[in-house]
Amino acid sequence: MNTKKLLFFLKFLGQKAYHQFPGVLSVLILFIGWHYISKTVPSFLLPSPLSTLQETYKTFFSAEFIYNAYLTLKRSITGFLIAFAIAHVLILSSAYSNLMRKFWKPLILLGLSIPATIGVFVTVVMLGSRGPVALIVIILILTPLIYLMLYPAFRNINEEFSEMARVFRLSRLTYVKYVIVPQIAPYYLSAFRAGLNDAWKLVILAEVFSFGDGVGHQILQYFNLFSIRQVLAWFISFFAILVAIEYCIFQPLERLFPSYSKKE
Amino acid sequence: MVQINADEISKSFNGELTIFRKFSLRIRSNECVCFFGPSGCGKTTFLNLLAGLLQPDSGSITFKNDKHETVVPTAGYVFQQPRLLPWLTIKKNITLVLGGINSKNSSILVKRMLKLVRLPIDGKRYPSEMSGGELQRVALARALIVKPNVLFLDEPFSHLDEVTAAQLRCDLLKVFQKIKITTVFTTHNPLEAIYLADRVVVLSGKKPTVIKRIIDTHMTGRERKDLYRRFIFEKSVKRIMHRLLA
Repeated sequence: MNTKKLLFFLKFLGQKAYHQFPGVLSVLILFIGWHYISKTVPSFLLPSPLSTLQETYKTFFSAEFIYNAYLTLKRSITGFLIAFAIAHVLILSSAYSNLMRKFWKPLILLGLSIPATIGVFVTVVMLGSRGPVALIVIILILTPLIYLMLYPAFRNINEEFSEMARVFRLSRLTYVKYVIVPQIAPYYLSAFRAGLNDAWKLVILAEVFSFGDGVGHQILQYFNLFSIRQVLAWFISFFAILVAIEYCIFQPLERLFPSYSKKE
Repeated sequence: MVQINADEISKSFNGELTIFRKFSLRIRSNECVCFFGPSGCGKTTFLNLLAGLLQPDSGSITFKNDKHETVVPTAGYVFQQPRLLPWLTIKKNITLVLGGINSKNSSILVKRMLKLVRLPIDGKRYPSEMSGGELQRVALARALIVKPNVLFLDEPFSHLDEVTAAQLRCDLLKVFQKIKITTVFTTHNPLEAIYLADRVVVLSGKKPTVIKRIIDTHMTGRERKDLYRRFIFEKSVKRIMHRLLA
């Protein structure tokens, strides 16, 4: 019986390893490459992976990092949520009126073509370095992006399924839960992922140019001190938080929503 | 038991293409009426008007019970394509129309309905795992589970191969013999029209659409089966002869 259990466990591990192998391999290749390059250049240009990871460990559990990461995350999430809400106003107005869609179109195109650095410079000049630079940059750049990602979700709602729901007089709750949500959920997950990822990059950029705190500002400080090890440690520590968000929030959400495409 | 009265219905699209102008028809209780006509003559439009998916520009559609009181009908609809939600299992697709997929006694009801449409499966499969004929049977089961007093079928077998369609026609006739429902269906197939319907309404191809003829079939179940067998036989003989001659 024990041997059977052991064999079953080994088989389970083997299957897991088989599925995880390509991902682990790519990270391993990255670290090996980093290790060999770091041996050929001075350590102040590129520190070894081991010393960087040690520094990352120290940084990650420091009060300074927790405080600054909290500020950066707060700015990213607030900016993203505001952009998300504004994008919904634009999407709903576009869905109900063709005139409104035509009205928003040039503004959306303009928003999409604004480079992040230009957005930050202009906002810093106009509002000063202590103003809500990060929020405004996120709203300016993310709103058109979210609009572009979510508008097709509303346009591509299957009219045939809606007709079926009307004929069989499904309640509004049943209709939304079983007919609408599975169709738009994949678009929403993509918009959340892409939006949050872009939001933190924009916030870090804005913090580099404007704020006196946040992960971006700390990275700038260590960059001014030529401490690449610290820069990488701060970056990897913040990256670890985003990986945790991906695995703890987005992937369970993906499993929760019955995907439209999975069973088609 | 519901009868349908369509009085002077007018319907046009975009104010230009007039499909119906003052079109009237009465469908009796428990009668099976078939709309037969060429493509684009307005069969599906009329069915959608009756089902409430479209609103007439003028005129009225009323549903009346035996006491001649106006009622809101419980309708079942079998579309050309089954329109099953691909992310739900067959069982959930069927029970969805009962007001949510977790309704009480749903398993027993689903089994009963699947048995009625001669589909002996457990309902845990997804639509993507089933054939076209099976999916159309599921669509029929979904339409029947709401205990409709009006059943609409929009060319239900048009996209199926002839063998599957023939089997489904026989099964549908058996269902009609077991359950009496006022039924309205559309088809391109003249045999299907005569085989299944009590009355065949032949529509013109010109716009606005008018009734060219109404045929009362007046056949017993046995006569319908004989007709069907003879037709299928003749069709196969013709096909074989055609091949031999070719």
